[in-house]
Amino acid sequence: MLIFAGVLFILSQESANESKTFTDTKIRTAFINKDNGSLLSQGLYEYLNKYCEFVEVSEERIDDALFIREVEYVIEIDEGFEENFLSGGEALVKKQSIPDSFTSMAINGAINNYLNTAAVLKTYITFDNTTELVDVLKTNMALKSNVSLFDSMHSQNDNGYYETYFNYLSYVMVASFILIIGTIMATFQKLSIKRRNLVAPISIRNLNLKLLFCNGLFTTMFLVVFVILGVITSKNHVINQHLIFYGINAFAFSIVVLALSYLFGMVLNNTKLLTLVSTVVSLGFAFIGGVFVPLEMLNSSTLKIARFVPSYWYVLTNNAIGKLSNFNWQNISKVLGYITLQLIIALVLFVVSFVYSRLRSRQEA
Amino acid sequence: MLTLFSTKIKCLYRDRQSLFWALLFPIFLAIIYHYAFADLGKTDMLKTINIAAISTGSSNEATLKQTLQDVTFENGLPIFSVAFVDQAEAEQLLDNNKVTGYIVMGEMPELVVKDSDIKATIAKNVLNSYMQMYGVADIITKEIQGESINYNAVMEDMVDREYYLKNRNEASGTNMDYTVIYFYALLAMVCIYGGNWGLREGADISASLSTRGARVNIAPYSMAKLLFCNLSASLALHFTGVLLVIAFMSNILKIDFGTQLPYVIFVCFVGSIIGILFGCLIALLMKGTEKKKDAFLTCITLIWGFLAGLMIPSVKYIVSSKFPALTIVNPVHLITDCLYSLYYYSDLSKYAYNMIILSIIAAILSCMIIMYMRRGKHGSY
Repeated sequence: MLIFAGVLFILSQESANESKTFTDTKIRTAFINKDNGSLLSQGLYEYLNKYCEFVEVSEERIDDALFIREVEYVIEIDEGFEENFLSGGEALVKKQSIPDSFTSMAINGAINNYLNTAAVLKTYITFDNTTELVDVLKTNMALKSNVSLFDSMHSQNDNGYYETYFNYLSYVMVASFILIIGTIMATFQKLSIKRRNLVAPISIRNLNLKLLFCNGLFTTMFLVVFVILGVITSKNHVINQHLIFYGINAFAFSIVVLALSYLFGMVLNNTKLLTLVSTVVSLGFAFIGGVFVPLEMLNSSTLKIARFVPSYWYVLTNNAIGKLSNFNWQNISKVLGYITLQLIIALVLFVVSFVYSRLRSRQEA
Repeated sequence: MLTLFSTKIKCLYRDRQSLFWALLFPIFLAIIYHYAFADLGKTDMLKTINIAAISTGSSNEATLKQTLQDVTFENGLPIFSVAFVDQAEAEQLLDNNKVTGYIVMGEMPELVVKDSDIKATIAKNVLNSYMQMYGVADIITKEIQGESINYNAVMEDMVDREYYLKNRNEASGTNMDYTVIYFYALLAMVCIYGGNWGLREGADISASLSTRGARVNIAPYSMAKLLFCNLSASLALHFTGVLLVIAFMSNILKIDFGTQLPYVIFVCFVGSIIGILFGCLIALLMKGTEKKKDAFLTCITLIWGFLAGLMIPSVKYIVSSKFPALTIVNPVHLITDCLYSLYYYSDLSKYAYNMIILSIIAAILSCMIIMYMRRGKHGSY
């Protein structure tokens, strides 16, 4: 569980950093300037600052960084660039980018715009020195159009971290519940143990209820620990209405996973298989249900499949909670609807596993 | 020895359940990945941006209109598809996400967008350079007063742009779909999951771990040979599974493994050996029940997978740039890196480097197993 907590923490840190606020989209760029002290390249650097977030990457790591999108654009300025440019010789900026992507086009455009403007200015006006040219360029390049934001549909708040955290928590829940609860249930399915329990002076109903209670207790404790962990690891440690709703949703989902673990424990009753199944199911749910890959990024056919995955409804609920700004009945009812749906899924799973257990005990009798 | 090998194969083949799951597991995950990432790698690919434009009747509106319709990306694709509408309609289009934003074409054009994403940024950049174009023309006409200067000629010079970029010399190719990392890490993990086979062999050969081990140990046969046969049999079955996974991934899911398939198969083979040896070593060295060893193996393989980018590809990059030492002891990373270098780089130096480390790991694991097994004596109490 500690390992899971660690992974969870890293995962949510990873994506909580993604921009959720309105800022200019700056493209992560590596800028290698070999034309030291040149005013033109310095001017270009300052101009590109509007478009780029400059990232330090060592030259031998650049290819890897570009592939993984750590940087999306690489600019290299050769020695003697300014001299060549001013004397009208070939002065080209070396670039490396993701082919045919928006990001590469944006920066390509910006660099060409800057150098073209410089070239036109140079043709018509004789400047005393490069400083003058760069200054004129700077003034001109500061001209910009007005950009305003249309009334944003969903105002983002600092619940972003909780949303990510609770989304990822579903992965941890599925992975560990199937493994832990599944293994426990599988143990009770062993014929020898079953027979021993049957002759014990305790009714089956009583035994089942006790098992359910204990599993429920485990689930609740698990949740409490992870909710507290979430509050501790968040930046502001706020406890708000959102957190309560996230908690309720996580509780509903934990019941679904509990039911699922019951079913797997009963059907598979083999710990080796349970390990594999927990890996496959947890990763599968996480990827298709919108935990690791945001729902907006899944294509429509995947989304159709996702409807059969409980994590999908859980993540949908979390997203809806994240968008809540006013806790009136109309807004909450949507969230509650999703939660009810999860509970129905849990109920169905429980019924299936009980029916299965009935059928099997009849076979075994 | 051959008899032992073939008998062992039969033994393992009879355990259909484990075999089935060992095969089904990666194929199932690969399918999930395939669906989850169907669109992911393509989100930043170039498309014409839909925008709306509102007329205000200002003097330079015609030029702006023309500019918006004419500008293209450098590959010739038009940047904008413009809908000329009125204010109310523009707002509605934006509200329904039909357009990225709308432009109010006044003296100073104004852009209204919903999110500041890359498309909005590009729209803004185009408007900015449009204004800067006028700015330059203004500066030049002011500067050279008196001389006969043709405003239109300046504008033409501005529009008639030169291209100031060239490609860096790159060792990397143009294969840039980073979602392949997910599949490579998965394949690498499948190789290492061979540990489950190794775990069983380790337990079956050691007298202190299983009754079968005890029985086998009193047989008048070299334990080293027997273990070698058993492990080879496991490897044969496991590797067949890996080959099927590769075939499934490359033929059905159309995952790009680069052009050098034999290298891909070779690295997976070495990876499978490491997986099986590692599992065997855990069975022999670790104290505790089989379940505990099982859980440990699964956990460590998953953590290795995570660090190699199985869940988030950038983790692989972060680990290798900030904690390079961690990558050397992570076979999943090394295998993933081999596959990635075959896909992305044109030369084989990175592949060779990783392969050398993998071979060293395999050698160390074998030595450890031999050292542990050698002259093992088990007392009977």
